[in-house]
Amino acid sequence: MRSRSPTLQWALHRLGLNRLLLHLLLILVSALTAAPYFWALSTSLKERRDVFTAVPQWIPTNPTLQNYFDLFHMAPFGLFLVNSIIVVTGILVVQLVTAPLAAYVFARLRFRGSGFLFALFLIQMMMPIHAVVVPNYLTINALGLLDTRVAMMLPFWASGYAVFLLRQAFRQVPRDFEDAALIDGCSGIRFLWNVLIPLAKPTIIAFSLISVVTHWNDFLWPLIVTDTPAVRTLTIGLAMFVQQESGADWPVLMAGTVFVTLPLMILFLVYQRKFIESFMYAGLKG
Amino acid sequence: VEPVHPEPYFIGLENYAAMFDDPLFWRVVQNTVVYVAGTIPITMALALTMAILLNERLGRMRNVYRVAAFYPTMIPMAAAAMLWVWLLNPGIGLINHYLAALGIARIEWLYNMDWALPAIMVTSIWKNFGYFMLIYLAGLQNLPERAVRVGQPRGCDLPAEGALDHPAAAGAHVGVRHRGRHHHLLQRLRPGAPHDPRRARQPHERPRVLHLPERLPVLGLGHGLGADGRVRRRHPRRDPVHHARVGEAGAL
Repeated sequence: MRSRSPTLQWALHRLGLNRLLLHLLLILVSALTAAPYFWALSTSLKERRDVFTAVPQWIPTNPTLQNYFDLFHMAPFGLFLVNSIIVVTGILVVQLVTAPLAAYVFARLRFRGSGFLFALFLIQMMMPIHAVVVPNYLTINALGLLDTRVAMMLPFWASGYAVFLLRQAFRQVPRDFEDAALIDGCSGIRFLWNVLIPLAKPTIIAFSLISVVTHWNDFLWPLIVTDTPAVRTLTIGLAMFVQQESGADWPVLMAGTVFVTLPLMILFLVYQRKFIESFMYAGLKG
Repeated sequence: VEPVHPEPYFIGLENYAAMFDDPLFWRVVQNTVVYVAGTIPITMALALTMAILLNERLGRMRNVYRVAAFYPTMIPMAAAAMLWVWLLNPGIGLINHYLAALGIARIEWLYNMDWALPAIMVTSIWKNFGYFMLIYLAGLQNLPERAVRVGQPRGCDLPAEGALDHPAAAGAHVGVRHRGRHHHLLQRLRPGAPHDPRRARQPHERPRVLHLPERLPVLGLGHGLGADGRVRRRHPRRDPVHHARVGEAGAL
């Protein structure tokens, strides 16, 4: 990472801005972007009478967790949380098995139709989810899986995107490595496990984080294949909760909103570097 | 309810005709155009500006700014919508509260035909610009420092020009900034092109200071307009960036 950009200094100098102004500007922008979430967090910790004050209380004078307890009484958010965790990990674990195997084949083996098959994987990557919702629904229905957690995971178990990213990573490993390993009697699968996967670790981490964020936040597909609260994920649970509350109890609604985002936000704040690097990396490759 | 016609029959483009006759359809098209035309340029401009600012040496605060700009990307849309419905609440929302403090009358936001779309656009910009900022930032950080050092005194006023090196950034970028300089910036990357820095520099050619007309942005073309209004091609061998690269040691 470059630490100094003489160009910008020059540009700032030309604009008559100095570093202090730069920081002030960035603090202003950051405050503006952070405000919506902070305001929701603050609202969720307020007593009802503190919500409608003449001067907005950014920091609650009487902080309370009561809204979160109310939330859990009004809708099974604990269950939603468990469902979200199951779905997200279920998708990721299977992806991490299928994707490296497929990527290894596409990166190393030449066979009749390999180009065509890889093109099919790329098509999956380019297809917006909205275009395949109906056929996928019919498939899930035919399998008798509607309204189950498996239904929410199944379509994502083979990810064209993961295969693509990993294939690119595997191809950067020199072929000589593999030849040397094969001569020494190493099997292809062992080479994949002991050499390619450790070398592709940054790609795997990047993909994993993106997969978790995507499926944690997914709305359309879980909404379509679920009917009962017992299998719903957090995002669907929140949307249903908002509908049934018809929006008057703001502190509880904000408690729900914050609760849905909190697990990812905590992960993000703790591992922010990894997250940001992963999204940068995948954004450039993908 | 009419029963479903037992046998489907061909009606040509009638369904399309019906759609085009529907005033609601045109209203929706108009909304889409306004939404796209308003959201994308602002998102990209904000993303690029923030990326350039964040590429500067900022110490520890850099992480804070990055997190603040990027976190909306990680929030599910269902939750983001709730945050903004609350902020935009006409009666007790924070936004109307501060607008009132500025003496602006209460706006119904999402309940008003004219204000609903802008309100949604703001939400969309807030949610998405951080992601594109990261892409630009990655492009800027992959830019060799030498290119920045050389380009800068030669009239490349922002390092973002180098983000063009990156296809992901370039895609979004090309639509935003069409400047003559980009034209040969791209050419420069193609070996063997007339601007290729590997071509030997003629000893009598000297790097020269840019003069104004060359720096005027001209939409879409790699040329500037001359004083007579005719398109003036810039001569490859007079290309200042090219000179700067080749004659780097002697520059300045």
